Amino acid sequence: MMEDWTDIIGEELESIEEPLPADDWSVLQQKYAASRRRKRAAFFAWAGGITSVAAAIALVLLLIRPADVPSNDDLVAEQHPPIEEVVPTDTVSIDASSDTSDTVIPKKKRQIPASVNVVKPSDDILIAQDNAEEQVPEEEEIFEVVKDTVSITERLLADAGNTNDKKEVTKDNQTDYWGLDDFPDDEPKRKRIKVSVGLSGSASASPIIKMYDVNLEPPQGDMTGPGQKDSTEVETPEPARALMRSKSSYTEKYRHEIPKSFGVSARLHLTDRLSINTGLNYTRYASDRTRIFSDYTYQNDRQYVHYLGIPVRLDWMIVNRKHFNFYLGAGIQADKCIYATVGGERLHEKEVLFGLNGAMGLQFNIVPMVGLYFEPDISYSLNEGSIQTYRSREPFVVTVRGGLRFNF
Amino acid sequence: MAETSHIEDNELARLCARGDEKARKELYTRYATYLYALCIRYVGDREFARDLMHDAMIKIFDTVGKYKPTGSLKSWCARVTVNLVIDHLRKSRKLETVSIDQTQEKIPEPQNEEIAKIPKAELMRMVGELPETKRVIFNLFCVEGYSHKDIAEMLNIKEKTSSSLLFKARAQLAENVKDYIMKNGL
Repeated sequence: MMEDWTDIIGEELESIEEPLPADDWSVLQQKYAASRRRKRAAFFAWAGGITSVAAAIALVLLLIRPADVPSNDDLVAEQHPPIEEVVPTDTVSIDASSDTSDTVIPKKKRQIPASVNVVKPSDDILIAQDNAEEQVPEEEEIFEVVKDTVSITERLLADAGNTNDKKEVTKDNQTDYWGLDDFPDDEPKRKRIKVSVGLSGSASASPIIKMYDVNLEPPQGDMTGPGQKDSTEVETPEPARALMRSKSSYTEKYRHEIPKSFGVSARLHLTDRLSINTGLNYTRYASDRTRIFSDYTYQNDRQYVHYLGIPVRLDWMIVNRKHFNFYLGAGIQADKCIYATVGGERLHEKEVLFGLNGAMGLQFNIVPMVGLYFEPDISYSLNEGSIQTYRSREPFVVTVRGGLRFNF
Repeated sequence: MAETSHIEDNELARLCARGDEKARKELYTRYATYLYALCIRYVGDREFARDLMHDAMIKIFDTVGKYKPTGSLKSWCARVTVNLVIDHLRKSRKLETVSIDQTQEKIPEPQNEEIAKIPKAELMRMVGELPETKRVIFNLFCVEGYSHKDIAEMLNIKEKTSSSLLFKARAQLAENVKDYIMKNGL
């Protein structure tokens, strides 16, 4: 069968290859690296967003939990008969009668591991059986507990399984052992919400030394040193400035100063050890920009970039003492450029910058309500934005924060 | 990193999926010029085509783990690139709806021998001069070998529209070929 003429064109076109520029592979590599960073940023932004929403939902559920809803302990106490007799020996034996009458004769005894150091509770915390009913001799060390208390069987068994709580079951702590402090009062206990508010200031630095020293080597001739702070024109009258800016061929060098930051933060304690930390951080990035033109003239400008950031971080308290806390935290931060200028001209940055951070904090509580904290953290920028700053040079930055935290 | 210059498609794809930089470079060396030409055929503009080729290479690097060795890696890369180009053209609304003239006149078609005498670059230019939608359909049908049903699904048009536009593309291309032959005395 004879081929159609378009088939021949198709075959010809299909075999065509077009040469590419020599630097095409390196351009592709750069695009690929940028694409991977964008994907990572998007992933972490989503993950951070989902985590934040989950934390917010958990928080709301925690706050709106009705105070008069019976606790699990209450439910257990209702479902299981109370202990009637407890015999403290080397191995503690507990009567676990199912009889619900006020006074119960023991039918069988359950063994608790001998490692649990059970002591005889003092008489004043035990409610003796009604004298009118069966009296138990004290020499036999059998104690009776009234029916309407929580199930001590359950408490003892739970205590036996929890070695961390062993120290609570001592002779010095008899009241705690019986858990009478936790017995439901007439007034239902409301969950206490602990909030801390902090004021902080910080300075950042990169762990990579080359960050500090940008190679600034202006060409030969009269020049201003790299430390110059203000926008400066060198050997260039004003009419020439516009001309100079119109030149398309120049290279730019930056000398970045250590960014300065301060902010307010709020920490909500979700549990005794877990807390969520958020707030508002202001950061100022200052840099000296030098443009070196193809005719070896150059121009220095001062650049200021101001960012507002919202961090969201989960903290885990490792050491929680009265006067000293040590915690670790991890979270994300979103930074939005609110104002930027270079040489007096406005710069615009539309991109929101995202970063991951991990922190290690030490807090010294001067008084119970006020603590002084010191918090080194390391952050990793997921995207760098279009404006050259200290942050855009190197994704890893170590920040040392210090401040006051008020606990409520 | 492994030596990659003589390895087969399947192994190359496996190494690329594992993140081997040298294998990626080899994949690029083998197919980038072909994919670049493919992009030029579809969009005409060389700079835009280069950007699309880069996007396609990035997508290939990311998804090469899905390549099944039932066909050649080159065909698989071409399919990924065509899908990406079509997707991009559709999003940028460059594939506008074209009104179909129902009357399809018989056109004088060039001879196969005449086509064989025309340089490839000229054929490329002639195809590039076709209107966007016609060019895409011509490429999909005559070069990539998709059916009108496939093209209709890809471009979200009717099969009849696809065949009508192909007929018009052929007519225009035949006219261009005739003009070229007349001018160059082939």
